[in-house]
Amino acid sequence: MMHAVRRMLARNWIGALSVLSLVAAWEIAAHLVPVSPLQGTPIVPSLEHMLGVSFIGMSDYWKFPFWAPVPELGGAQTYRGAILAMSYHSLITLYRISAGMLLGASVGVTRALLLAHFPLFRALAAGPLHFLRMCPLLAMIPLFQFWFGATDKSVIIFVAYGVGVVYLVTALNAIANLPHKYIEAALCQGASRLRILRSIVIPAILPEFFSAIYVTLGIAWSAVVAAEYIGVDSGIGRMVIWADYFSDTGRMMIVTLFILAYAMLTFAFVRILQRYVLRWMP
Amino acid sequence: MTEAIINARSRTPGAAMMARWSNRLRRAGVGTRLLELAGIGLLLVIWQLCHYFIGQFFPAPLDVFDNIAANFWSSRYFEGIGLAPGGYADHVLATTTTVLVGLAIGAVAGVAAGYASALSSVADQIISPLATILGTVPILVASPFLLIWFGPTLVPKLILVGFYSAVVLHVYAMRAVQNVNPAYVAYARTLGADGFGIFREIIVPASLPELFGGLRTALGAAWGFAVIGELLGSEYGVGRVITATWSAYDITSMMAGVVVLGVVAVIADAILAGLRRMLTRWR
Amino acid sequence: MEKLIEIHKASCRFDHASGRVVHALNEIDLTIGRGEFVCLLGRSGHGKSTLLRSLAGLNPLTSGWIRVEGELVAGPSSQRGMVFQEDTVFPWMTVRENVEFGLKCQGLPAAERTQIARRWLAAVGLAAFENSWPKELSGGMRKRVAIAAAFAGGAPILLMDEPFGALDYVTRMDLQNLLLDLWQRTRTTIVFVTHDLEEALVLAERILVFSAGRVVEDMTIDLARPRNEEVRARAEAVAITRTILRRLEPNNDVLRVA
Repeated sequence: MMHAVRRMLARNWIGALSVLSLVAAWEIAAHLVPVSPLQGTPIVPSLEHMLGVSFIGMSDYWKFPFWAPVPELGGAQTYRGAILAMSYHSLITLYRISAGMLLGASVGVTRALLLAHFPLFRALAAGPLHFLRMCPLLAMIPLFQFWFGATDKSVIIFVAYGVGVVYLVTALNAIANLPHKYIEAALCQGASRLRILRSIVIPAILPEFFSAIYVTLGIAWSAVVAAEYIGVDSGIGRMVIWADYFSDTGRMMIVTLFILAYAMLTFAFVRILQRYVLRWMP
Repeated sequence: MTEAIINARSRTPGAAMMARWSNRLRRAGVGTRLLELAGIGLLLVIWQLCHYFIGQFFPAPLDVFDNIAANFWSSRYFEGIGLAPGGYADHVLATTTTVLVGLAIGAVAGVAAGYASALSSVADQIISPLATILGTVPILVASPFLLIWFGPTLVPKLILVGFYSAVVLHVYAMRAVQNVNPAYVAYARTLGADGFGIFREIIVPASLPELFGGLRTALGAAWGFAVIGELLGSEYGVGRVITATWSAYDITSMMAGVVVLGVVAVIADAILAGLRRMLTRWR
Repeated sequence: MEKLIEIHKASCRFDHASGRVVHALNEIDLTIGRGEFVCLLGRSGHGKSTLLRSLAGLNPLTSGWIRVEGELVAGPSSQRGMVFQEDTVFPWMTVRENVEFGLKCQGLPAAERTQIARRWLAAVGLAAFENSWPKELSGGMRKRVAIAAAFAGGAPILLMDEPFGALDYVTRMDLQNLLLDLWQRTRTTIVFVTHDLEEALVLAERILVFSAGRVVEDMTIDLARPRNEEVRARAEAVAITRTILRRLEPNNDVLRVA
């Protein structure tokens, strides 16, 4: 592990320096910009502030009367409580995002396969799909809330819709680009339609599908945080609003860093998965 | 691929009928345009059906269009729920301005960064990690910071739209340059072109088509970014309309806002596509 | 010889959007016997590939019919294997999975499939590569995979559409010899499209010369085997070449149409 990190730094020390200077610039700004006169919180929180006051303050969001004191009921702020609160809300969000992505991917790809099989439907769907893709997703959160309530279900369906449209369009394109020769070769070996679907179409569209996963991961993180931010009363996106309510930039920053870390981890996970699944690619 | 399967194998009667129909329509000279229109018609029918089954939470298309027409140029109703004077037109104009100005700033910055990243590995090592890290911050997490730092002015919205479109264009511009056929560059060099000449005469025109792809992606996303900026604090803008009508539990107006914005986005996308065709006629 | 393939008044026309009508096949009558090695020879765009694709069932006829063993050809079938000019080895399957694919479609159990696939991979000289990905193979080796897959399917007829067209000269000779070897061992009927006269002379028992959608010459080639790349220099071959070239003279078909 350490070895891998050292090797990466050796190869990309300029990149590391670039990120470090971003952190340094932030820290300098934190010491130059005054504390907000209104709330008494720093406008740009320093690292010390974030890791100290802000992080331990996250324990305010621990509401269960076990494992750690509950500050809301007069208990002390503890690091254990902060970690528990962060984990609790992170897990909720991770559940929502994965459920949403799975739902969106399965519905999107199934639809694409169906549409690709019926040329008339595909032609009919082109216009509406273009319009739906152009409708700004994040502006539709309030609508989803009215339709499905401020619940887990609503967030999951919202994420699924956001990524599903992308998967649908990507899969349709990928199928249209699928080299005809493979289908013919399979047909000449006596393949049935189901066999062609399973052994030719699905593996052949996987490369394009994987590039769509990167796009949709970004969308999914935006969508899940946005849906939580505006709607339901739990999840890591909601924590931003609780902190924003007191303009507590330190806590907001803590949550931001967590989201960033999760997003990076999911990207890395997909990259590993891709390297394995697409190991046949030239 | 489907055609092969359709022609070659026995199929379900429904599918066969569908294929025959689509072939017949194509042969009769019914263009894809008409099918697209029919598709929009189908969408409206499905929408109406949703309204029928879901009820008032899913307003009928006609009600939404009535709402748009009634409140387009000016709206007493909008003022009643606390919006600034003006109708959808004024709000769309505000959002469009944010999008266009923000996109222009972001495009210049993003394309410059992308070219730099593609042409110099040092620049790439400096820019790419920052773009990845900052670009991954979900917009709704970034926007409250900007709001605290800059207040409810045009600045945070422009930064939101500009920054996220710059991230998109950075990636596209970098790929576009990397995908330029090296044979062109080598050929230009044999003709005696210098570094800047190659950049201006080969790299820029050859990367243009892919750049437009990036621009379309960024433009499509920019509407959402602008709306988010407006949701959080603004006087005008479709995002503002949505927040105001949201507090009034007025689903019809919310849907109307989304539809108006969707139509404007489709039109803007079509204009950009036309522009690309004009600028890359040589393709 | 036993009739295997019967082609009766087979026509195929393509109406282009520009209004131009192309008769890719023009009332072709033909029979091919079991075990024959037939080469369809002609210039590009004169119907030989169209006929092959129609034989495969990939290209419906406008009129006329094709029967194989008395049965009308209505679509592709595992009874007629095909090797394409393009690289059609599926990149997402290993070499052995590629060879097994046809057998899998026929519903053979896994163990049996593997056994057959290994035998054919050995026959084309790729036994050591069964678990490789196609990307790790050269173009010629991938062609060997395609040939192994075609033979492994056990089809009585193999259709080959300029399979060696994109290969370099030496590799092409290797593969021609391999194909002849496999044909002599299995006596599978092979219909082979090529525009390369020498290739036809090396391979064929019978050459059908195509021009403007018709068979303009049907010749039996009884040159002694083994034939090699010097076959063209033989006296009998020179006579055949002369006949064929006269048939393929520039603008010959244009004059015919006029």
